[in-house]
Amino acid sequence: MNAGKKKRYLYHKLAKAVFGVALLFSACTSLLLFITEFKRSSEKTVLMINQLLDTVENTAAVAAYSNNRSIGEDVLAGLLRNDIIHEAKLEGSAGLALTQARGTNVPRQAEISRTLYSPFGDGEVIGRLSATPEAQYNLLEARHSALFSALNSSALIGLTALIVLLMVRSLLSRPLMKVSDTLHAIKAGEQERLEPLPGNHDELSQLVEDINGLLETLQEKFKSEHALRKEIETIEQQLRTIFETTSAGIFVLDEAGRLKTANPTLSKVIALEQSSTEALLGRDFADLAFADPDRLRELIRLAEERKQTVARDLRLKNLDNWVHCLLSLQSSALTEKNFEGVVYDITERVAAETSVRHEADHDSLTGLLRRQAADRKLISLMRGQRNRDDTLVLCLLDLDRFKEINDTHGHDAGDRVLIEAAERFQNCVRASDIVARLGGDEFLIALVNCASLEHIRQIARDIVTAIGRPIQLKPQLSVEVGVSIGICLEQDGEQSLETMYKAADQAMYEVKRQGRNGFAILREDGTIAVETIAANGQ
Amino acid sequence: MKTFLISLLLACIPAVRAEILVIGHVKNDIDSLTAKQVQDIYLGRSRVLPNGKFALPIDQPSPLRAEFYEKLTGRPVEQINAYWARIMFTGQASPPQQLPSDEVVMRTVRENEGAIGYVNKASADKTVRVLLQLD
Repeated sequence: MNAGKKKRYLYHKLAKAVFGVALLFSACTSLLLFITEFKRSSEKTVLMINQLLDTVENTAAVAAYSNNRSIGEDVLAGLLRNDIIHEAKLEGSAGLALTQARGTNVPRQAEISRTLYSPFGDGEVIGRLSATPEAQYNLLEARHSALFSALNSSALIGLTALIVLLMVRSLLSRPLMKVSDTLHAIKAGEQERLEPLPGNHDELSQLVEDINGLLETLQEKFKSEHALRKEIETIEQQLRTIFETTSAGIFVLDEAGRLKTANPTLSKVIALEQSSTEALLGRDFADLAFADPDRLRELIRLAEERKQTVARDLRLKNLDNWVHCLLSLQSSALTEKNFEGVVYDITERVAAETSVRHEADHDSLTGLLRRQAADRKLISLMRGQRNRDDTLVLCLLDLDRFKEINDTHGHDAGDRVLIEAAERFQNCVRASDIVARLGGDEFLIALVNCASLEHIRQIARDIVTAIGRPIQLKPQLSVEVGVSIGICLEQDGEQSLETMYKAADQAMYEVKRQGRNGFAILREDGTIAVETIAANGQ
Repeated sequence: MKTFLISLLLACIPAVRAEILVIGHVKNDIDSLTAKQVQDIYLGRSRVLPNGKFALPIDQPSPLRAEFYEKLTGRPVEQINAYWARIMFTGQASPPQQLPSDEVVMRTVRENEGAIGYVNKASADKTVRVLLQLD
């Protein structure tokens, strides 16, 4: 594992530190010893020189007294035979002046001198004996002493350090290393434990016990975690199975509405069976799936605004299929904004709903809108945004002589007439116009976007003419009906639908009163202009 | 002879305790010498007399010699002997010549102008000049 790195032993470090400190300590003590030894040696030298001078004092006195050069030289030579004396001098009051010195060149030291008295009686001063200590000697002595002590202390300290090291190595480092190596080899959660250390109960064995305790705990943790993980895996598997096999499409969108995640069912649900789910990721979901992408974008905006689940039925791109889409904002502070959603197919439901609504809205006989549906459309039309010119024209139509046909030829014939009339009405107007059966033989036509009054009259004329043509019931039976049309023009969008109905009804009544088969327009001034058209197109 | 000897002996006994006179030649123009001057001459430190003449000190045998040195230097005669032994070892000087008696000393002093000797006070006469009296 650490092949590149050289292993560093703790006791090597310790050894270096101990040796270093020992060396430093030894150097310090040696220096101190050197200094004290030098001082002591100097003092000793002075003492020794004094003793030497004591020894030769008498003879020197004799030499000085007798002015005897030979004795004096003997004395000086004798003094110089001692290593500690660098120079010896003898001066006599009778004129004797002797000096002997060593050849070494050393800094001058303080002279130690002694006054010589006459060896006989009266204590007369007869000369002076002086000696200069050998500086080199002190130095040598001190150096020797210091060296000796340095060696001595070094040996002692070194030996002690070595013993300490060996002890540390055998008692601490080795067992620690063993523990460390074993610990290194143990993988987390394994059954393995450290061997208890032999010997007495010390810190190391306590450490081993503690480590074993930790390993035990760790293993239990691992076990429980493993169990937990298994459980989570199972749950996750179940959830994944649900995610993958559900009939609903599940997906996550990012903030911009692009697909982040989706289950395999999604592409099926949004009718894109050719693409795998992976290929869809990153695409704009609204553009990808829906006939009106803006409706999904609006839903996303709503989900973000309300911070709750919103739902809407959406038509897919192929226009045949519908899905119900539930969308909610994933509220997590950690991740960026995401939207999770579910879509499921509701084509059949929508189809059913559409047919039900169709049945509710449309007359089963003629297929025209019923009154309520027509009213709804009209109201929304009146309320909706329109151009100024888009005047709504409301026409109420009532078939003339329908009751007679019903009575004479039966209900079936009546029904046939109604169907035919409805068809003819529708043929006379545009697809955008509204044609409805109000009930019985009453119809409604709402014209939108009429250019002029003349245009309206033209349409009304066309209707009257178209209805006036015979209706073939059976090969040998045809009937004729007429129609009375009351027309009301919307004025400034102020009137209610009800008012318009009333006005149109009033106009229609006027047509009926004046001979049927025609139309009447209620003018703005309240007058009614009736235009009747003779049967057979005259 | 026997009586002479006895009388000599008797004379000698008080003489031991008597004074010692340092004597010189009568023609010597030195009136007196100090103890120090005598000491310097007898211990070889000075070879001449204060008047510049060569000095010839003359010793006597013990016990007068011992008394003389003891009185002169205040040191036992053994020390003086040791002192001379050292000097003689160097070969540079020798102690004063030793003459056997006061009479010989008297005669030698009478005959040599530079001679200096010491005798018992009793042995001295006018033929020599007394330079110092030790007591």
